[in-house]
Amino acid sequence: MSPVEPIHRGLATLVPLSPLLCCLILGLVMLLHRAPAERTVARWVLGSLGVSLGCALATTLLWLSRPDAVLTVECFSVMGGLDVFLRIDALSATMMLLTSLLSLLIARFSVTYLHREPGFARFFLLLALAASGMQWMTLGGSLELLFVGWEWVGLTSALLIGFFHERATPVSAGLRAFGTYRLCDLGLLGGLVLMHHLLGTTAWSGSLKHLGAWPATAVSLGLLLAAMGKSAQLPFSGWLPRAMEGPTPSSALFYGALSVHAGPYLLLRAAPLLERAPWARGVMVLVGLLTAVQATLVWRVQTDVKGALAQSVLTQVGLMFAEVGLGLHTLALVHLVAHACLRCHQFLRAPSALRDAKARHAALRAAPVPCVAWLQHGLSTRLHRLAMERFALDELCERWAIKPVLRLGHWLDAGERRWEATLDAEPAPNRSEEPSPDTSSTGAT
Amino acid sequence: MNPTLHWPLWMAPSALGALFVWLVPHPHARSLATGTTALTLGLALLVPMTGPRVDASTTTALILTSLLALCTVIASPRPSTSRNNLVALLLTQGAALGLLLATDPRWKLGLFIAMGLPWSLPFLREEPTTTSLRPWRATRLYWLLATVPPLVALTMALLSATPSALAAPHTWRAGLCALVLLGVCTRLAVAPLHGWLPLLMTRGPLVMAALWMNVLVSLQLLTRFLPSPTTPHGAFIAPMLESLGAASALYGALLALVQVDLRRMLAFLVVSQSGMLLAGAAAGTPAGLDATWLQGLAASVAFCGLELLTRALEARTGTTDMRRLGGLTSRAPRMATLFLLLCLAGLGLPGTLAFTSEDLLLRGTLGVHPWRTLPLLPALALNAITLLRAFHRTFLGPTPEARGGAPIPLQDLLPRERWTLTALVLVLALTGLGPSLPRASPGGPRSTALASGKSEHGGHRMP
Repeated sequence: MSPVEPIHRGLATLVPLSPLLCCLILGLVMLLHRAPAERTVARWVLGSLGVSLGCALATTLLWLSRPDAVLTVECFSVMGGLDVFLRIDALSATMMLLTSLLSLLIARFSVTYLHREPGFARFFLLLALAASGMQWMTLGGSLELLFVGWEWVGLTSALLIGFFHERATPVSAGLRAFGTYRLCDLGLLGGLVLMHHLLGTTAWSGSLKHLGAWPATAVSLGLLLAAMGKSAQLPFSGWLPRAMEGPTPSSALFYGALSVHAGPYLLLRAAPLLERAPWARGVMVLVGLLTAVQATLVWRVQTDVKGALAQSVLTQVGLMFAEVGLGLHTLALVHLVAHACLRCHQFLRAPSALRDAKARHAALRAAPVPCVAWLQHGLSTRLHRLAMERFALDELCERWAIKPVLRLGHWLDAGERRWEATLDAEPAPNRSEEPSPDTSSTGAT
Repeated sequence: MNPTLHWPLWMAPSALGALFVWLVPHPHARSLATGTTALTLGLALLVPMTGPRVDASTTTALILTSLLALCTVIASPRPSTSRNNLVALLLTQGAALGLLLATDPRWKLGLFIAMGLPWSLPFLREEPTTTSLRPWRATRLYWLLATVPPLVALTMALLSATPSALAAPHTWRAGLCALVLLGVCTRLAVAPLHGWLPLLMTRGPLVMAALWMNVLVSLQLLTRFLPSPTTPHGAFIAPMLESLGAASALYGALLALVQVDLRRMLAFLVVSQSGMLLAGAAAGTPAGLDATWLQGLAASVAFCGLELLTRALEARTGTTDMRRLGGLTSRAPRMATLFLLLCLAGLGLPGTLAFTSEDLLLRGTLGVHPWRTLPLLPALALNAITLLRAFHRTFLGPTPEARGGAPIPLQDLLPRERWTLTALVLVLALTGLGPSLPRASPGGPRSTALASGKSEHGGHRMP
């Protein structure tokens, strides 16, 4: 073992571990004592993200100095036998640098933006966990480790959407996002189980090429489902506009920079698998293009900056899906990096966007409105209406997916209550009138 | 001292503690119960030092049983735990400890039957003040289903000539196992034998600790009495139980999703968890058995903590109806935080024990019999949504007075509640990140032999 290896292992491990340790320490202090002062919280989190960035740079330089295209760094074993090892290659190194840089920048921005906000410490706690989750996702050497980071990012995303929890709308928006993530993550879970069953491992190693066409297609479709949920592709895009209820820095981090690009990253990581699944690639291209078209039309009728940005993000991510499906992996990665940086910048500048737009309109007052296509008047009106309603995706999802499940649940519950009444030999109480349990309120104990 | 031979001695502290709690004046009953449960926890922690006679999974079950009882006694609100409840809890704990340590199946069955008695004895039953709420009357059918069939099986076994009659390949022995399995499934609250659980949770006293003790011992009995899949009976029964477990998991998840009462929601979540445990145990694979065990551990700690918090909330606000709650996090931030952490532990967030156990459970069931256990996937997703929704509706959003309702008085957790629940969260986190976990199956050598094809006595496995 060369003397550089322990250093390399330590540096690589610190990249995801540094923000995680900060999150754990901050969380324990907040739970057992109270939230520290803003300056202390900012110093801890910025420090940990700075360490993560520094280690990411060093790790990348060390990797570049070695002849191997792929480097496996074994860290430790936890969680009852789960081996934690990191995979460093061109894709993960790029994403690692992007994640650590943007996380640090957004964290620094947030220190000023959220100054004197009651949930300041809570925001940074979740930000640290999200940053750690993204690093585990990008660096994890197996699908299981990716799933760990995937779940953390999803949870922090949902909790930050509901950051302003005194209002009902952000809370329900956060729950909507979490529900979409969880249901789509069934694909990831299924793919994980199938990979383990067929290959005996979920490592991103050369064994993926040994899968047959149909097993590869099944796993690929599962991963695609998860990617569609995380990246808000059709028909799971309803949660993204609602996610704009969260603070602007979290919108920039999750829906401009990192979390929304987790889907394309997952598909890029699973590229060897996708090569053996042409049907899955075809579905990917179709989903990506449909999302791009739909989001483009919806974007043009948005009246608020963040809503417009959200739809334009969907357009570009849809194109990334199509690029990955067509096998244009390098293009997709370059697109991802450039897009993440651009959207991060745009989201952070969103509060100033109105002033910019007014200045632009004033400058272009005399210029004719650009127009690339002419449509018959009725059709353009109809399209405008459809775009305003986001093609009624939410209503369709509500009518055909959510309400039938709830109706079934209520029907089963009514049956349960009738049976309980039979056992009681008394009329079943109405659900809304069911008396409280036998303990009377004592107020403060 | 060999715990497996001297198991009655391990029951003695709980039994004596229950007796003294029954006899002493009420103000001292709780202190006595706390001391008793602390003593049994200490004894459980000493079991590994007695040597390799007790396997790791049984040791963990002993420690967990004692821990759940201790946490319940310390952290439960005073109105929810009367002296009768404490007596019933201690008696249940004693029977559970004895069952876990005993090796003879007849003693195991006897203690299994005895575990149902404390909550049904007339002098221990709690009758609520309003006449329309009679949990025991409504649940007696299920009590009979959980008690009579195993009692019949035990009687027939006692009448047999040799102690190992249960292992003898007689045609009627499959019927004996079926009787025991009926009782076990009822005690596990697997659909459609689950009707007693929502009634007990919504109208009865604090029961989660005793409930999970029943679940853990039921799992051990299940793996012991389940016929081998290679036999004609086993080839029919095991897949049927696996499918039943998966269907029950989804059924419980659907019902939990539509509930507005926290206690009723927890009841159906437990039904769903029990279904998963049944599916894992019936899968018959070593991975499935390991996963069942771990999932039982994770779910018992998480749901015990959630029930303690729910009862604490009810004691302070007078309600567990989520429509009347909301916006409580500003007034009780620690309660909200611990509720969220326990919900996250219950839904299998990476970093907690439930993540590992769910992963193993899916590998051991879905990876082997995908079509039979497919309902487990949506059940997991729905349970996660239900838990987070419960947190959102109870603690986030506008306060009741902002919605035009009456203000709800609320005090944050007391130190004893806070520290106990924090300890439960730490147990879930440390076991999720720990380097090694008790991965042996819940039945110990017997169920390991079941999976490997040999009995613990070196003979043929049970047909």
